Amino acid sequence: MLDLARVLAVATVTNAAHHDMGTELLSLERHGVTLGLAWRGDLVDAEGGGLARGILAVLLDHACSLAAFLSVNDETRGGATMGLRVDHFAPAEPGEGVHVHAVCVHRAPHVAFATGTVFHPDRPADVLAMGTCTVAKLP
Amino acid sequence: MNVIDELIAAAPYYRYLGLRSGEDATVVLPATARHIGNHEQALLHGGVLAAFLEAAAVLYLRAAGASAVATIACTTDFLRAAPVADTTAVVSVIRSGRRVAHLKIEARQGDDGSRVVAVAYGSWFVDVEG
Repeated sequence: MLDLARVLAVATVTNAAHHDMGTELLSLERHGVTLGLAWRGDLVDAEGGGLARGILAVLLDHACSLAAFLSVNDETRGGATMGLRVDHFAPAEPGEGVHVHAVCVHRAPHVAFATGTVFHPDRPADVLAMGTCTVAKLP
Repeated sequence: MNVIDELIAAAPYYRYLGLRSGEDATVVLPATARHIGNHEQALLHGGVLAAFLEAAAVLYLRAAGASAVATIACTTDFLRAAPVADTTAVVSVIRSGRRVAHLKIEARQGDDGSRVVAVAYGSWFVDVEG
């Protein structure tokens, strides 16, 4: 069974980095998760004024590990991110928040493979960045 | 203030991360509780480490004279659990072409910097004025 309360806790309470950024858990599906982050003036790159590329990487890492965690469906332990690739298609627009949608695409005995995309909430087809993540199942 | 610190001061997210310049043109991510991704073991958030290594690459290229830098893609491998501690990014140039630079960046911890906790490899568009 999906333990929604536990996932919420992992996403918000026990994760200082996301708590500090203001990451929100927007939706949960069987193998996927959507996170949201509002635009903030202290989270932008020097150029452009949109949310920083690094911030998109932080969101992709978290969304992919949550998606893998959901798929692994381990009631007691989450997963540890082993690797993250981020392709940057376009910079985020100034003043606009982003959503990140991640799904687990394959689950092997010791590792799960997840992928995610970042987009502005009203334009999900215009992908800003794509992430691919390998998540180790903790013993 | 050196060039890297000036570039950090101009970038809100780099200030949010708390970045500062280190020895030999390196960049340091100081130990900060708000970068924790795993509270039970007090480990740094992997995504924050990935963002830090990408930032170090951009700062390296800008300090080397690029007027604008845009990340094309960056892959980070997390080699071991990274405790909350000062972490130094060491950049190696794999190839620096006319338009694109390929870099490798190591995240190192420990007194002698011998503990590599993550390594990133990526490509960046580089604009050079003139």
